[in-house]
Amino acid sequence: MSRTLSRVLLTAVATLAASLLVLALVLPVGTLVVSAGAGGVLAAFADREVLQSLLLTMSAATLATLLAVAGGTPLAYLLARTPFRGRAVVEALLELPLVIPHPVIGIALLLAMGRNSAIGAALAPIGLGIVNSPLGIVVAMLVVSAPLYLFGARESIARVDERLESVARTLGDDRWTAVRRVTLPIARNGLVSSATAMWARCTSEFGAIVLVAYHPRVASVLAYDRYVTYGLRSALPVAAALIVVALGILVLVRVARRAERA
Amino acid sequence: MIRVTSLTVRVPGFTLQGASFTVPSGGVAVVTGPTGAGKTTLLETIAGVRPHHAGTIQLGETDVTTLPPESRAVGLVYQAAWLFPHLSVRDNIAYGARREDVVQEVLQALQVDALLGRPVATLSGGERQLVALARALAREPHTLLLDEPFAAMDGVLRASVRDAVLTRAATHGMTTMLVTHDVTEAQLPDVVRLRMERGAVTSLS
Repeated sequence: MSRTLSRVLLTAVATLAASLLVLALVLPVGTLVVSAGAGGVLAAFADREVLQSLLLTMSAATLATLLAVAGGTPLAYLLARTPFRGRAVVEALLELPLVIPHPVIGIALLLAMGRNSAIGAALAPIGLGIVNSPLGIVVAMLVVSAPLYLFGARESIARVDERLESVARTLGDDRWTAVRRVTLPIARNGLVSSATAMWARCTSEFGAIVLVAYHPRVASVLAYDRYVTYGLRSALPVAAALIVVALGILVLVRVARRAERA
Repeated sequence: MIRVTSLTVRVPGFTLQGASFTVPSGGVAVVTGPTGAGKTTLLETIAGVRPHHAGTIQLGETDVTTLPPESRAVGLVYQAAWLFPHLSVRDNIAYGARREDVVQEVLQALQVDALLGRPVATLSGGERQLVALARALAREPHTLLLDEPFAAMDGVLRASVRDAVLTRAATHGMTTMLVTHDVTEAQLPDVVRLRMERGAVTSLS
């Protein structure tokens, strides 16, 4: 077979594979939005319950992401910079929520923090609890999605050469000042990408939330609830509205970052 | 003064074994040796950015063996410069400076003014080293640790920058260690000469 022919074949196979992947990613979501129609989506935004669920989803996802950034950034730095015995085991434990089914995480959360647990009993007197509460939604989102931020942040920090911090320290910075002035600003794009990925994952969470907090309903639970209660056509506008909002925010974040880089 | 006594550093696959030497206050030590001899490890350990396993380090009158890098009053310049890519050239140079007039002096002494408006990413290797040297000098360290800091400069620039750096170090009483592969620098007069091979100081004169 000539080199030209094999190159043409390789290009054709690669193009076909890429096209199939794009189709697999876009077709179901596109079909859903088209089926709902512009009128359906607009009607969903006029539906108070849908608006409330969208607002709850976005705010809980934002809070969970902020908590992950606050706690996950120092941890990511530690994992990126400090070798210690058993690090592989610690990392595997922290990454576990990404690979186990999310309803299992919901069950685990109910066991560890539900009404009959020690934590649940401690929270009850101050009026807090994870079952059917916004707190439960935030906790479920955090546990399921924080590894996305944690390990993305770890990679971003690891890519910043440690000698930059060394130089900063000889220029008068203590360790944490060097991290704040040098490492984090250089790693910022990666940290923002990781936080965005986590936030997006939070907004789509269903499996853990539906067990921990069926009420108040986040958008995914509301779409499911309308589907099982009223059927596919009733679920469509909610699902389409969630897709439109999530897509809009992801596009905005990317445009903002591109403008910043320019 | 730099006084290193029985310094031992272990890193994966390499050991710097029992290094001992003294560089007089305000003096210059030229360190030579093949790649992998431990020259960079020695400088990093004196700077405090690499942990040691045995021995002591005295800078001036202070035993800095257990002090963090920021308390050692050292300036460290790597061959690769390691400029902060998110900062301008000017902000790199002023990063650790305590006084603006010192920054201005250093800019003039090393003739870095022409680079101030350039993004760090567009600098050549030699220009990067020039900025890194200015950054270290602007901090006014007592000890200057230079790891092949002129390696990417061409002959004329190299000589003039080296003279400017060593002159400023001498007039400000800085004790300097210069790692080099350059024959001219290896033969500088009135310096302590250290030869390193396979993690040990093999000759001292």
